[in-house]
Amino acid sequence: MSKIWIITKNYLKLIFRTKAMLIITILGTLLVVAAVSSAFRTLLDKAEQETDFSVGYEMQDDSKYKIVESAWTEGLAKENITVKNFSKADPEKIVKDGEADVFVVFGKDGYRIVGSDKKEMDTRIVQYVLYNMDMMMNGSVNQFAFPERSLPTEPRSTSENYYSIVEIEYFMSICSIFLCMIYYTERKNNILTRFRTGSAGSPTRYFGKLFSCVLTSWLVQVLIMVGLVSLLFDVQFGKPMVSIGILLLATVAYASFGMVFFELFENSAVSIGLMFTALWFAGYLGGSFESYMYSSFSENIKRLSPTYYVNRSLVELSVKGSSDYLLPCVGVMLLMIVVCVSLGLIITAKKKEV
Amino acid sequence: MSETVVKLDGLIKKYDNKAVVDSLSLEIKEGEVFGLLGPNGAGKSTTMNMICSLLKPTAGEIELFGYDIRKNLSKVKPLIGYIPQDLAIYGNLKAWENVELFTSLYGIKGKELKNAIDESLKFVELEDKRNAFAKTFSGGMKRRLNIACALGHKPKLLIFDEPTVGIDPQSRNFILERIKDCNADGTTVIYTSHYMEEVEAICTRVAIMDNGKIVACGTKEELKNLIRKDPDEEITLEQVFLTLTGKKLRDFVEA
Repeated sequence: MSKIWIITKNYLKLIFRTKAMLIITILGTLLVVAAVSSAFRTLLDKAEQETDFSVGYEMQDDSKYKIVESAWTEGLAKENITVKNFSKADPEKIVKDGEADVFVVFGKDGYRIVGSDKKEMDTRIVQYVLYNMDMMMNGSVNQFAFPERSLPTEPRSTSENYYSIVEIEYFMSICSIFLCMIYYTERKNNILTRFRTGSAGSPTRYFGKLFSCVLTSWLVQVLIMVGLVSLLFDVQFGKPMVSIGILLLATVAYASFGMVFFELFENSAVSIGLMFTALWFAGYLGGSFESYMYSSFSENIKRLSPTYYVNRSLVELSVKGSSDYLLPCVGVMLLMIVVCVSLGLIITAKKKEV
Repeated sequence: MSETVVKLDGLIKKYDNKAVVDSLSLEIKEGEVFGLLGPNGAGKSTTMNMICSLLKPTAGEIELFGYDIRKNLSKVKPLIGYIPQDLAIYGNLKAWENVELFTSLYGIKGKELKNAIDESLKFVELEDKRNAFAKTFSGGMKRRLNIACALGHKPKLLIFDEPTVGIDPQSRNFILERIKDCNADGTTVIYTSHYMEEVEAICTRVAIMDNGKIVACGTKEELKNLIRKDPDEEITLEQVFLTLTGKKLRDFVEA
């Protein structure tokens, strides 16, 4: 263990003496966060407005609800819900054609609600309102009450919050780039020969690289998050200890993933090219460049990206304080660590012979 | 009688069924400066790599200080100091940090480590440059630092693989003098070089390899006597080398 620490310390010195890489990573993250959060703010705001919906209705002349018709229309309008009155309409066709998101047919003694699967939440709101109307007619309540609309709808992150979290996570995914100069120097100078003749075996060197990379990445994240991003954008991380835990797992997973390429290929340019390509696709599917909430990719494809689980967990923790993606995220990261570390160790062991 | 430091017995290394080292047997005694000569592709580096445990032999035995290296690698490694032909140092580390790294890996720490760093840097006369980054050094200084990195743990066997390639005569002379000093302190040395005058200057015994085999082995005088026709004839080691290995160019591609 002491040998791993000696090597880790040495690699940390080498990493921190390549200051350009650290500065580029910190500034790069901040610039990207600023650029994408600004560019996508409109999209997220528009999406927020889309929570308003329209209700169509048809009231039969002999309906018992006739007496509360004005309360019904005024109450909905007050909540910015568009109300449209129809006569002799085909409710299914109106909902299907999108003329109204939900349709209510008021009969003599009851009502029928027509909605669609896509607008299930809107339908439930209308159902609650109608239940409330019944209560009012029975004298149980005096006023026409609306459900708290923030309760049934999913809370959404601000673009600054969302992109700060996902870009920090994305830049962290390429953290093995910190090791690039070390791999290059060791190959160019044949330093591994000295290690091999000495007392530092390949697992010692491997874990030295991994730990130094993870520690550096963590320090960079801390600098970005605490020191800069929070000041600039007031980023909210939900449940800090859980978020830190996820970030730690993800850092180890991504560092070991990148190291597989560096260990596998003798050529730094090839390693970086392939690693970047793989991580770019993972980030693209996972919502690093467009919000996963409004991504055009199918959920099944997005689930192939480990970045997706990390992003969802962190963003949902931020806005809700909990996430159903937490356990899958931990599982995927642990699996990635086991597979990538095993591969890395196998490759280094295979290269033992010169 | 001197202890046998290196004993190679029927050593074979094959690549694609071709023997690069072929049934090599050799003994190097304590306190010797042993020169290993041969044209390119003769099998010198492969032999050295097997002695340093960088390569596994296809067959044969290697004993270092009486230990079979396959069974006692952890005991043998601290006894060896290897100075590779390439500059195995980090340019972005200071001189003392390079020595510290490679010395501390042998479990040396604290005051002992500090002393080892000081002594190694002083030995190669880089003590006044201890805080300078290795990347700022001249070729000769880098070579000296390369040697210092192998000395910190005080090995009993030093293996030099062409340590004077591409440096000025002053640096070369300095390195040769230092190798003699190491040997005077009781360290056994294995030395390979293509510079015959270097081998002639420092080696007590020499083996000439060709096509994976030792074609001659002995003291410098014993080797010269192999081709000397007249007792008064002046013979150089280079003449011996060319006579035994031929004058044909040796081009080879590394396995």
